Amino acid sequence: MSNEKSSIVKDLVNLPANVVRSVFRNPLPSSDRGRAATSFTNFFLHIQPVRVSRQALRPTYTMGLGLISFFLFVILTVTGILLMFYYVPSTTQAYDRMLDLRSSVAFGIILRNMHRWAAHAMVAVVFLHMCRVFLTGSYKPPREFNWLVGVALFILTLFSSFTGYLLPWDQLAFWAITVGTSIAGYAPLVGHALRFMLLGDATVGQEALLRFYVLHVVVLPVVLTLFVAIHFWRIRKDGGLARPESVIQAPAKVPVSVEIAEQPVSAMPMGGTVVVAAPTRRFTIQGLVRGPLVKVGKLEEDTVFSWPNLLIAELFVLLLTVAGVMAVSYFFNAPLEQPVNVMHPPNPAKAPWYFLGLQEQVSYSAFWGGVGVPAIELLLLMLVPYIDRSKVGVGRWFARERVWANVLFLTFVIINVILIIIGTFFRGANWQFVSPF
Amino acid sequence: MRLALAVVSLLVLIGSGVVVYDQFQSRWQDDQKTYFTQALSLAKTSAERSALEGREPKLEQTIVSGFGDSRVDRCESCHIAVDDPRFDTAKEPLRTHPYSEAMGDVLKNGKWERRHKFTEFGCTACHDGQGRGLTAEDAHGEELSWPLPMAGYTLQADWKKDIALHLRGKEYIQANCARCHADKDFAGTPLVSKGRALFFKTGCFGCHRIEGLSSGTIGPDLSEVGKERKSDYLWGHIVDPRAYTSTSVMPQFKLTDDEREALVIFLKSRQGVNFGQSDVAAFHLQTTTEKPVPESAAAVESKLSAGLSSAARGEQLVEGYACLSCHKLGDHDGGISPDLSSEGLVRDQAWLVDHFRVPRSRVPDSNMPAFGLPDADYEDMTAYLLTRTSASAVKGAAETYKTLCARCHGEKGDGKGENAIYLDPAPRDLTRAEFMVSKPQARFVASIKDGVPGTSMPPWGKVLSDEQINGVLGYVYANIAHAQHRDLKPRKVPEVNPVAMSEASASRGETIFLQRCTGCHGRKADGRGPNSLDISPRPRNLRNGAFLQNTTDHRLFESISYGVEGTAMPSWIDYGLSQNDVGDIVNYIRSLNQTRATRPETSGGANGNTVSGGNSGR
Amino acid sequence: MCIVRDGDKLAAISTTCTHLGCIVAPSATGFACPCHGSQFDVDGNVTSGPAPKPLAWYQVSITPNGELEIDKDNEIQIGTYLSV
Repeated sequence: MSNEKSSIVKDLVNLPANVVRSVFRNPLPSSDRGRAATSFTNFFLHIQPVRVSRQALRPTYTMGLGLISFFLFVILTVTGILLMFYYVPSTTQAYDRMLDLRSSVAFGIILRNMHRWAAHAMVAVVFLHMCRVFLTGSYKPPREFNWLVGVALFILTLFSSFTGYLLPWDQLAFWAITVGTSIAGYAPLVGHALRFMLLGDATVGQEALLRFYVLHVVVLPVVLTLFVAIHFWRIRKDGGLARPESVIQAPAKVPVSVEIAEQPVSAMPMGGTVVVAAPTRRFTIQGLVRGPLVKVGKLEEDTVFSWPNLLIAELFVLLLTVAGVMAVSYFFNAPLEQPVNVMHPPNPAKAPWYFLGLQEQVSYSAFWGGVGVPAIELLLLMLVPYIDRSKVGVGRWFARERVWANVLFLTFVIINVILIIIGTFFRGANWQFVSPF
Repeated sequence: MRLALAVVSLLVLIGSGVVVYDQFQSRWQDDQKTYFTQALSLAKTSAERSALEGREPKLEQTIVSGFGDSRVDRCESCHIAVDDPRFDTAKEPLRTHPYSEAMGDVLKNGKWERRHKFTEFGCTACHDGQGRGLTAEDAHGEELSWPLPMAGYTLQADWKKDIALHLRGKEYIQANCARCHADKDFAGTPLVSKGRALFFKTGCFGCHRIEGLSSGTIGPDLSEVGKERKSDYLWGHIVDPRAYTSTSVMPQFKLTDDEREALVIFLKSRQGVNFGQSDVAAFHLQTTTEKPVPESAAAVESKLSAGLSSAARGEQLVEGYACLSCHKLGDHDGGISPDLSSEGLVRDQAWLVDHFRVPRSRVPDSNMPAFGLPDADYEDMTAYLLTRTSASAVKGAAETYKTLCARCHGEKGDGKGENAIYLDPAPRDLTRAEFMVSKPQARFVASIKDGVPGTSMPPWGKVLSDEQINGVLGYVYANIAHAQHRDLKPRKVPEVNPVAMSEASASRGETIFLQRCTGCHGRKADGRGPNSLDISPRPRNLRNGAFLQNTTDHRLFESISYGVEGTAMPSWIDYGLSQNDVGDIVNYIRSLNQTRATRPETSGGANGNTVSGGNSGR
Repeated sequence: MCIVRDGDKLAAISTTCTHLGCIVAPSATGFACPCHGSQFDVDGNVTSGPAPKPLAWYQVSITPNGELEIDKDNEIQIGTYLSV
């Protein structure tokens, strides 16, 4: 009897420790093995490799652009969900709801601002990330498919931003989407049907608002999340971030059967030291797989453990992104213009800034500017890793071996940026040239 | 990296702190606290004192649904003392809202009882502004995108300074009173009534439609203009229409600032709502097909003395109606339309009656609206105008020109007289020497003596003797065109069209016309081709029936074959047109002017090539 | 929508610009679009600017009780008037 009683008491005393230990099965690591274990025994952390190249962590290499894009997406999702509690996609209510967010909802202004500025930032950063990937040659085999996934993500980001643009239902939103969907209507064969499918009607109205809302809050985030997941998976499978091959390995001679004895390990002191004798295990080679060599027993010299180095870097980028978005949102308000008035198009009516380059092109030729040239650019972008198969110059910025590829790419980038600048600052009423000064 | 992480974490923490702090500290709480302190010092009973001591600032809002969409007014969060009579001399925002009998408030036993209680009306129903705003900037509607800034108080930042200084004042609130108190001469809205009277007196009703009041079609429908436009736009557009709409034909009326203010308040009260009206009445108003008789008709007629002759009655009508806000007669001069002082010598009865009923029946591109007044009034006014025969005794040619011609043709003769921008076709630019020397003198004499039908050029034959006409012409040649008239070589142009009129000929002419002429003369041959705005003088409206009737084939042939010097009309024989081609074109032009009725049947209808719409919905 | 009347003939011309969908405003020479400067003549034909097609003309008819009915789903040839 007394044994049972004392064991119950002991259980109660040890309850907090047991709870913690059941949730966090692996204690905070203090050894290399522990650090390795943390990476692959944690649900969230096991997307990351156990060890990561030091080169990949260098800020000047990637500038964390991919991470920033991802964290912006997270910020957008969180602020977006909070906004969803207040917004109604109805032509009669939407604008009033926006005004309420500004005046009546606690933290409404900062919430909306963060969502808006994070959205603009995401479009820009995703684009910059794409530039970084290209200019470091990181699209080359075996990373071609991930490049395609990235291009898809870019298009999805643009489309997300575009669908969200309509939701405030003010003059800015309405006419930007009128212009944007009309450009879509110029696509050959499918243009008219595409436009009708987007708008649900002949003109922008309640149907368009509802469709854009559904696309914006459900369809696109789900698809984006899926593609992001594939993108991250692919990074792992392709061997991490692209970096120059500094070490050329000779194929290791591997015996048919390998015996690995595990060392005994001490668990974290939480009521004494426990020594567990690990069993001996036999491994048999199942087969040889083509792909980047997994180096067993021989590590690249310039890698570090993901825990804590990669984690710290990621956390830093996350907080930096949040700080940046918060700061901008505190000082600058997202625009809200007059409520929709179908009789008074603003003069000029401009698409969102990332489509202004397109609108500028469209003012020269509706089909070629709006559909033809963008389609060709997109096609070239997608074909890049299949056209440029040589493996030189991977993992370095502006590698000399790749100068022509870089020049060509930068030319397109600069032309598009110039077009956007012209469309933003140099076009006034009736799309005539005006001086911005 | 760890250091960077620490720094950025701190930044995020601080930033969040700032955001949270910002959210919970507002000016309205400070204002309320000030009020509590002051009210405490004025408290008389201990119960009152203890209530005030325990009171914390709280968001005050009134939800009002009787005026259109449900609205929430939070003005009282800052203006907390608005119903506390002890604060009538306090500094804003803690001042009591004034009481007055004009607003229906009643003084009972030394205490005011408010008629328009805040719990029922809120604040923005009368004052405009943004009810849900909690900062002064938001609430007063200072943000540029807010369509209803506080009436007579808030001047938005993009309003022009010289206009904005007129737009301050409590009287602007009357526009909102009129949304319930829409009766014609409501005592509480004198400026709305004044503006309404001016709407008729100035002639606005002729061009603009306001539901229930007028049915003009030349200008936009103003039934909801108070909702669509802000006060600065309304004021500015009245002062200078072309500053806002570059192609507007709206005259620049001579009004005092007080009159403009009344008009702006009246227009601001036109919001397409009448909360004092039942839904059934509103429906009837919207769906009636009867055109409202302009109020001024009844108003003016009621003021007429009895037993007057037709002409005397006409005199009072001309003065009572809006005629003189555009035309010149006697002491009044609107500065926009022709001088009527010698109308009796210049026009006949048929012309005047037709012109009254439908001005475009006589001058197809006139910008004078058909006012829709009773026919009997038109007859009387005609009778009166026919008695206007006093052309002021003009002496020399120079004085003749200045008195009779300069109003349209300009003092310098360049066609830029006072009236010129309102006339279509525009008055001839007499400084064009090439034109002036290219036509025989007889033609100009005929133009002056007999006028140019279909245009605003009147026949001066009964005002000026032949000698005077020649004198004026000489003056024009010497001082304006600076050219010597010389004998012209007669051109080989047929007197009568050698090509017989037939459907085939007109059809051939149409083909050539569509190939060559539409760039200037327009597809419809109405002078509105895409190039027409860039050339001076503008291309002729070839559908001006009255004008074409008065134009000989000879003249048409000459103009087409050899062009018109001093204008953009080229010499088409140089471009390969044969005489037969020209004959076909002339037949085509003639065919355009045969089926048009030139005499209207009713006073309300308007025939001709009028493009009406734009605001009639999509 | 713009209702056009030429003597005793009626037509209804769409005021939606065929370039990117803005509303055109009546101008002295026909219609002008404020968005990219397309110009149309009084019949809706393009005279300048990026608009690719002329303004649409819609079927008009008179209902038995004397009202003008415009069928926006039914486009007709430019220049086809309804005589009343």
